[in-house]
Amino acid sequence: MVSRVIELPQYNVSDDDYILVEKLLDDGAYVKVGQEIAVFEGSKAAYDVEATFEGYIRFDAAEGDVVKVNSGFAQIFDNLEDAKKQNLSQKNAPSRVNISLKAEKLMSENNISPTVFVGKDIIRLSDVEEYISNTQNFDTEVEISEKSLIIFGIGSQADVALDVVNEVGEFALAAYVDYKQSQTKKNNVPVISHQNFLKIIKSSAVAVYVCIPDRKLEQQIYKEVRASSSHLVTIVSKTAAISPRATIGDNVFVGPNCTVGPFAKLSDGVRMLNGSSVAHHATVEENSWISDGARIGGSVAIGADCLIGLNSSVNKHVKIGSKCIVNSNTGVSENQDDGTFVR
Amino acid sequence: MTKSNFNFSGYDSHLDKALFVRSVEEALLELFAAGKVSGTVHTCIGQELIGVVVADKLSSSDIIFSNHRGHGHYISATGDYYGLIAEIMGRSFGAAGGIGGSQHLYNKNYYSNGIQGSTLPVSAGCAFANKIEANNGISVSFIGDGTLGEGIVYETLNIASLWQLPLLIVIENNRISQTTDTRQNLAGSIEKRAEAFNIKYFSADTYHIDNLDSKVQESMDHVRLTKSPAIIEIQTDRLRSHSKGDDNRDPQVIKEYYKRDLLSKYLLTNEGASKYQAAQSVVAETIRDIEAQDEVFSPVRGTSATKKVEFEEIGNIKSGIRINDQIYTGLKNALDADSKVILLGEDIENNNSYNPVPYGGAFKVTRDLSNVFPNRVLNTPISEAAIVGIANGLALRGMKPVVEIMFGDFLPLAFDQLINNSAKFVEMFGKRLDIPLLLRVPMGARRGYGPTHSQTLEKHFLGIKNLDMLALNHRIDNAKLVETLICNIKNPTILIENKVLYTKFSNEDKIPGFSYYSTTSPYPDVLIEPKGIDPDFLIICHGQMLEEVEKAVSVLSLEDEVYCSIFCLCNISDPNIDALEKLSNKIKGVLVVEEGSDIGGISSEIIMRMMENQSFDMKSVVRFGNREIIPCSKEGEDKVIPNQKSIRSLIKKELRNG
Repeated sequence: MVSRVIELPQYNVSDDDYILVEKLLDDGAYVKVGQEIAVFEGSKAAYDVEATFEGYIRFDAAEGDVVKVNSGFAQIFDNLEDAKKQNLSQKNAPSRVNISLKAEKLMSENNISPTVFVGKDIIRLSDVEEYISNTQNFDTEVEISEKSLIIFGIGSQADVALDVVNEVGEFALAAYVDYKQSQTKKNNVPVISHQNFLKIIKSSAVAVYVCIPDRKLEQQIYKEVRASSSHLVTIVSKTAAISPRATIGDNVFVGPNCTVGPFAKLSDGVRMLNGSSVAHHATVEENSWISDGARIGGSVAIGADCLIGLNSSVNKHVKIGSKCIVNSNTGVSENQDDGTFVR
Repeated sequence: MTKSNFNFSGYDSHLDKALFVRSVEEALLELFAAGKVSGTVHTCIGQELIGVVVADKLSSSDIIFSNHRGHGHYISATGDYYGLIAEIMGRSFGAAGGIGGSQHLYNKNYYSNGIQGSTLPVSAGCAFANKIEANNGISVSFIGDGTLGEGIVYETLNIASLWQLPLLIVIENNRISQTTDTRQNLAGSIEKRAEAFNIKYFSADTYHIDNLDSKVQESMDHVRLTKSPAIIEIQTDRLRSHSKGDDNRDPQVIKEYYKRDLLSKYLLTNEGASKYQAAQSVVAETIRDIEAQDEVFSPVRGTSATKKVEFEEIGNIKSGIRINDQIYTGLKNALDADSKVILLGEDIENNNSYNPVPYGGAFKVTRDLSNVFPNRVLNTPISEAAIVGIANGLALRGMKPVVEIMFGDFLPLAFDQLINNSAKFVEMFGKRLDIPLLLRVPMGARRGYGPTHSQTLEKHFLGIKNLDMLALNHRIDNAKLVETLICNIKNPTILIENKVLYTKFSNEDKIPGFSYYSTTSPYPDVLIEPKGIDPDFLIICHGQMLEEVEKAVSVLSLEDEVYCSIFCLCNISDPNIDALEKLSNKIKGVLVVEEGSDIGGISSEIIMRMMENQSFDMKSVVRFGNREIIPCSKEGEDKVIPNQKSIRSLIKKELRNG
């Protein structure tokens, strides 16, 4: 996904920032270079700002927002979907982390990503030093082959995934990653640090399967893997029946005895557990879980981050918003808004 | 003896009524001599007829403002001699609850205060309120020839004439100010003073009762009918001393005064003598009745129980609105919501019939409000004292005046009004009176305006009972605060608006890794804390200083790995230290920083409150303010006014030493 940022010029020496008074276009509109896209107000006058690139526009500032001079307020994308898609995540921009200059320097020297400190809002030099000293125990050499798989996560989902990996036999588990560094071995396989993981995925081509509860960190790892020489894998049991015409994303898990119908779509990170099914033309958005025995009817649309409980069923054509939970043994026959708990 | 008002039955003529007043005052002098009355009594013996005649012409919606020599005015206007005597004897059932005493009397439409001239603009404000309510009432203000030495008198004459206020000023000219002869303290003529302000002038004396009666009637009719001010100067004689035993006049001259005193002549008649005797016995009985009841005023002290403080996270306040626009919105909403709200100030009108170009305030806060709310947003002359005085009068009569003082440095010009009127009215009359007066005051430096346009003077207004003080900052919703404040205001309140805040936004970047909370009060204090780390220091501040402190704290965290919590007060007249108990066990050191002088400053008060509160165990306590005259250059200002750099250095120094 390629984007180019449109920055706000300085129109008057006494103004360091301007108010976005009016957007002249909606997100997703196609703009040409020189086309007026927004009106900004300074302390003395209002100014029409022009597009500096051609493509589909997406505003990163809302009307009424204050935008600093020379900072970006809109991006131009090559395709319409990207221009529309990212706007959602923008609204929930994560709060920034306070990293001291000394900490930042040491992190950069040791190639440590801020994500290893997930959960911390303030990162001090002592935090980095502690991390480095802890990770020394995790710098175990990992033997890498063409078939190597690394599972990011050491929880119950990692156990579930490993059974299917062993059953299929396509990959050999080389290591687990534990970003919390609570143990050094699991099932006699080395548990490595996030740091070590980053080195491996960049220096070799391994398969990676991510199963951790932290959604933000998961997204970050997707990015890290996609930018490396390694790749994300989808784990599908031999006993699962998947239509050749279904679309399956990255880092998807399909457990034993599951079925996926024709033209169904499972987005990145979706997990289908034992004996569940997704019928024809149904779509399941990112990171949603279909628990054991759950049945998703034809043309159903399930949003991102949902949990469909054990043995529940969703009738055909029903739309379920994102972040919904359907209780176990529950039938869903009506559309559900985002964030609904269906019982 | 009941406590009912004297109905003057049998005392029908002006002379009879004056005679009754004299009997009360003579009795008061005796009480004073007997040590039964403390303080002082200023009698009007010799001048009684003025109050009697003026009171005779009043209608029910008229408002009277008297002075230090007001017993006669009070009895004449209200009949409540019982309340007067009880008040002077300090009884809690007196006319002013045993607080006001001789000089501070109150009875529905009657007020008095002993500060010379200070009452005149208040009286004009009452007249303005009557004019707004269009109730045909007028305001009557009694002053003396000595009061003409006060500058505020002329500020008031100017405005009363410009705004055509129904105000009758009664000047009782007894040719003596305490002990100073009028020839030593009054130049020119009183009549020409009136003429200079285009105010109708009348004159009379207390030696010719019919003429006095008709001139008072004439002057009052003029005010009532033309809805414009008038002055009536009445020549009279003060027969007794200023208060007690302070008369340095030639006894021969005073003898001559007695000879022409109509009441003295009346007392020589049988009718006069017998009526005086009867009055004396009524008064004596009254005093016996009051003496039998010894309840004196005792203050109800506030409890020192910990106030419950709750915090909520500060979200992103609606972005893109500069703080001057937030205040504008608050004012606009308040003007919309309540027709009693009226804005006064220098240069606050937008374009008007005199000047076509828009202006709307020196800092553009009121903008177009004078166009949106005609006659409710008014330019005033450059007369801070009189503007606040007039606002006091409006507030006393139930209006909600909002006064803009162009620069906080000009606020001392109105100091007397705030201390002796605004703050006192609330309780000094023995009843709780609401004084919904808001002063909006741009304060502070960082704009290079130099020594007398850059100061931070709020500490001078601390510790004055019933005078509240709030300070705006960039982390709270100032529009909501201003609107809430005006709609709910009960006490006179100073709102500190740092002038550099006006162009700022509320949604400036927060310090990464820090939590932002505010108390749930309508006037919220702000608490900023590093997440998951015990702070090295707590920094307390108010107003725009928060911005400097935040910048310092941000740099300290990123460059020095020093983590400070910040507490920014909104209510600075009663800093709520209880809010800090949440942090008490985490606080190692405290820095209180203010832009004004920290000598006897807000910082001193805050630190003392923390010391008094046993929950705080602080190793290090530092105050930081500016003790220098503020130079006019930006560089010079930076050297004296606490800023992000000097705050950071101070914290680092303290931690090194600690």
